[in-house]
Amino acid sequence: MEIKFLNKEISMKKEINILDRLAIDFVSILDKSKVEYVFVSGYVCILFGRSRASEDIDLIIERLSFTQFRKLWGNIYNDFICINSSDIKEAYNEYLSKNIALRFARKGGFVPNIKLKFPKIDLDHFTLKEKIKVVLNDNVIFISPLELQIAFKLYLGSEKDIEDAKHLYKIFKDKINLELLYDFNRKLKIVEVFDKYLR
Amino acid sequence: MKAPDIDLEKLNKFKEENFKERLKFIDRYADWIIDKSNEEWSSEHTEFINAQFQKAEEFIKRLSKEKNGAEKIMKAYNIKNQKGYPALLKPNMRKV
Repeated sequence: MEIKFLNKEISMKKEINILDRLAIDFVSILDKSKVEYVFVSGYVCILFGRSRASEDIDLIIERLSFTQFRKLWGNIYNDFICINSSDIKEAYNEYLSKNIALRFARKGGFVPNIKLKFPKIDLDHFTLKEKIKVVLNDNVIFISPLELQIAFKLYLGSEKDIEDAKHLYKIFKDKINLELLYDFNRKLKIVEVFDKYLR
Repeated sequence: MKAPDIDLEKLNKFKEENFKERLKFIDRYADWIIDKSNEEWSSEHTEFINAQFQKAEEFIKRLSKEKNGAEKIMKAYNIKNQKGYPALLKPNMRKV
């Protein structure tokens, strides 16, 4: 595996799969709409080769006013459709504003889809602020800091999450900031889980 | 019928061993990725990932042909925007 990882930027060339294509196409709309975002959770692991399926890609975007969201919604609707609602006000007021994710898929389809939400907890804001740039072939996408991703997966604690953490740690243990990872482990109270499954 | 006695301690140990086996597999698989060129691992990985969606598509096609198939799909995939999926009621027009 050839990966360049330097100063919060990862460069990698690889064959693009259906999930990567969806991620790249969707962020081109966010870029056009000047909306900050970060990919989190399972897709980050799959991006780097984790061998498991996922029907959705989790995405956190900066909190938007309704006017800003209307512009974004218009741009998204050129190629995508919202699975939860066809009504923009409902989408904003009953979903995003209540911290419920909106799901977007290509028109006529529903899997795979993008699960889009506003930042909810402090760690979501940290993730957005400290996101990592990934240059994937000639495309740019932003992902969660890997130290947080690994620790948070351990914190969630299902078998699938621990497996995700194990995969990311194994691939990146020589490249990430281990002190930061250990700090997250302490603060999330998962030092024992880390020692048990990832060491 | 009565459920048999269950040795939970033994069962939990079995579950934990099973999980550790899975983790060993993750370990070996990650080693394989690390050793291979991006071209090689990503080619196999893409085939694996794309196959999942191919299977999902086949499943949805089958389900759409069943009685109340469209409703089952809407429920299974939690599709609330039913107006957005007119083709679901016409399976030959639907794309996943």
